[in-house]
Amino acid sequence: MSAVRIADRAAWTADGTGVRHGDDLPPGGVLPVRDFDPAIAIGPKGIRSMDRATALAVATTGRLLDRTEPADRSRTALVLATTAGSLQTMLDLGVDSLTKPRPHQVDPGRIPVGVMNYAAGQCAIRHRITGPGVILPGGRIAPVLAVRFAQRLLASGRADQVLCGASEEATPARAWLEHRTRPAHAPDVPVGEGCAMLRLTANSGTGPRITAAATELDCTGDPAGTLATALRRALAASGTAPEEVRTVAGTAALDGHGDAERQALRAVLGPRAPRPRTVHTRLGDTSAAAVGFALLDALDNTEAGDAFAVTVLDRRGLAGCLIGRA
Amino acid sequence: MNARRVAITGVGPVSPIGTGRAAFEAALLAGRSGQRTVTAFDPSGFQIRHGCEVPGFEPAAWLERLDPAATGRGAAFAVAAARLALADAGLDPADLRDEAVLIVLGTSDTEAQEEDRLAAEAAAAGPAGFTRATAARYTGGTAVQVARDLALPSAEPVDVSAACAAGNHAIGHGLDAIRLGHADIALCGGADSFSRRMFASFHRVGTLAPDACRPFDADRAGTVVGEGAGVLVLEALDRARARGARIVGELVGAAANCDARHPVAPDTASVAECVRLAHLDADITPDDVDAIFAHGTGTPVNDVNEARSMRKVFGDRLPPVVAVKSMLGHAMGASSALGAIAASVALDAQFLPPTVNHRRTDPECDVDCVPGTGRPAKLRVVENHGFGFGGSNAVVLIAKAAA
Repeated sequence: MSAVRIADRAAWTADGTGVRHGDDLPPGGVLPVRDFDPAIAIGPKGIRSMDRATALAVATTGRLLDRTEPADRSRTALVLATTAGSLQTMLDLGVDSLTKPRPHQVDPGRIPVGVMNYAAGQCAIRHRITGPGVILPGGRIAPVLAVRFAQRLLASGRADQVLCGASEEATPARAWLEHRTRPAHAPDVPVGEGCAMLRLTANSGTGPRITAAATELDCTGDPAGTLATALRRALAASGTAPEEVRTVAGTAALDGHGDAERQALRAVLGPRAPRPRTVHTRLGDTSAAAVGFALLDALDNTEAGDAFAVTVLDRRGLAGCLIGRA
Repeated sequence: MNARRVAITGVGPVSPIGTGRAAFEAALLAGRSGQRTVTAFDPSGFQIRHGCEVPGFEPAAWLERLDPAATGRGAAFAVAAARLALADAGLDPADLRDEAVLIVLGTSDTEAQEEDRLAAEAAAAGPAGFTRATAARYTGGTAVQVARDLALPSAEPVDVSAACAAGNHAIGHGLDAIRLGHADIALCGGADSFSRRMFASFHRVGTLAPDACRPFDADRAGTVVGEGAGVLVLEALDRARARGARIVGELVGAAANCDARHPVAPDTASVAECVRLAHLDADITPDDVDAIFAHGTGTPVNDVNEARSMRKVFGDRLPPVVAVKSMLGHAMGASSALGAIAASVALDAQFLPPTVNHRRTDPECDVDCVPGTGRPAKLRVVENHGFGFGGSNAVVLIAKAAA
């Protein structure tokens, strides 16, 4: 792929404090973005049924659009990664159907919210974005695929800019879903939330950019080798030599693959491979948003012009990485 | 842009009216309906109890590497559709190991039946009642499971959620990937399973047809929920010719946009704009389009909006407009993928399938929907529509490949 320029970035993130525990939550608890109030961040109108993941995405998208030159919103696209949108909303509808006197007695106001691409529609409505808009529901790996998706929209001339990121909400439903899908050897970290988003444009001039994205599926029970394959392919595609990589932001520890990640990094980048940064130890397990936050962390901690890598090794054995320059 | 041209060389439908190209084509052109009593859950409390399920689907018959007990119905549909599409294209999955493969599949809400199971577990014991097995199937993904079952570890596995337009979004993305040279082969389309939550939601807001799906009919009263999968094999046209592949059609253009107006109500101008963008992408004019495979849900609102949108683009020279949901029901994220397969099959057969259940065309719609019985037609370019909640629109254009 040709590189994409990171024209701007924005996020709503937890401050790392205020883990909430409760009888309705799994052992690790949840880590909300405490200062995020949808009524303040996006205004009080039309948010009664809106889920938090959507509100976070609407607010973050707004930040990016508000501080840039006015752009043609019909040439603006949106690619947003998630695990399952607002699983809480979907479940509330499903549970109502099973427990109300009649099975169709679900809350009509929540029906559109329960459709997984609700967040894309709301970002579009509230910011008049009329270009293509999709949700990529791939969980942890999804932001890697989202960057590829965005890059193709730009390279095909379907958009001048793509708002590309991930958003998750810390609800009991999502917390339990994460808990029940977490490998036995993965740490019981709190389930976090937040939204990380980039404004991507076709590559021009200087400044931060993503130069390659790659994935590889573990079909042989060799997670480290699988991630190494993805890393090598991405480095080759981006024309980056292994020793040029100054910063690595890892996420694989969240899925119990921290050792395999370090092993893959040593195998590809050499014995002096940078130790992976782990911003998730502060933010909790933010699922699909974890790669977004890792990418922002890499950008913040890499000298201008230097190369960085972001790595993933998810529960399904899908490895991925982003290579870029700060 | 001096882009590569893109051929469709195989189609894999898994549908209520037939699985595999031959069975699907025969049922489609004959105008058979896939409507039956719902079996995915006990529908006894609902006033409406019919849907379009895929009958007799056996995951074990299709999955070579995945464990059927650990695989959601949507993913199993997708694997079956991908295998069928590759076989139709004369390709063995093993042939693709050294190729750049993109697998991009649309869905409305991922594994809908597994979500129903999570809801049942939560109804009994709160979300703490989620079992590991259900949670794992629910988050298993679709494209990635196709990659695993076909043993294509380097394939790029993308799931796209764009409500009922998702299949066309996926096909459009596959088109871009082949044009740009990012992929040698793209397996694209969509898959979704029949779900209680979706059924209850449509029931609640009165968009389910009491008896049958009657698109563009004056007495249409709603849609019928469906399920299934559709996968198309895309490859560069010159490569397809070089290997002597049978070319079903050429994917000549696609476009997607968003209404950005309302969470559920469609917007006439924006749908029309999406069609225009697709024509521009294909470098054709409205006069080049010989038939339209409509989104055509059979709901009062969609059909009149879609008809008005088409009039905006085509004026009084609107070609025939077929609504295959009258036979297939509304397969959500798979619906426009099955629509694209239906369009490809029609193009290949030079025969328009009918819109069934049709009695009297709504004057507000005023389309020739090929009511009741299909007919031979000279088809060079066909247009396939997919529109969804969230104001998501996506259109693809398929042309007869030059001999």
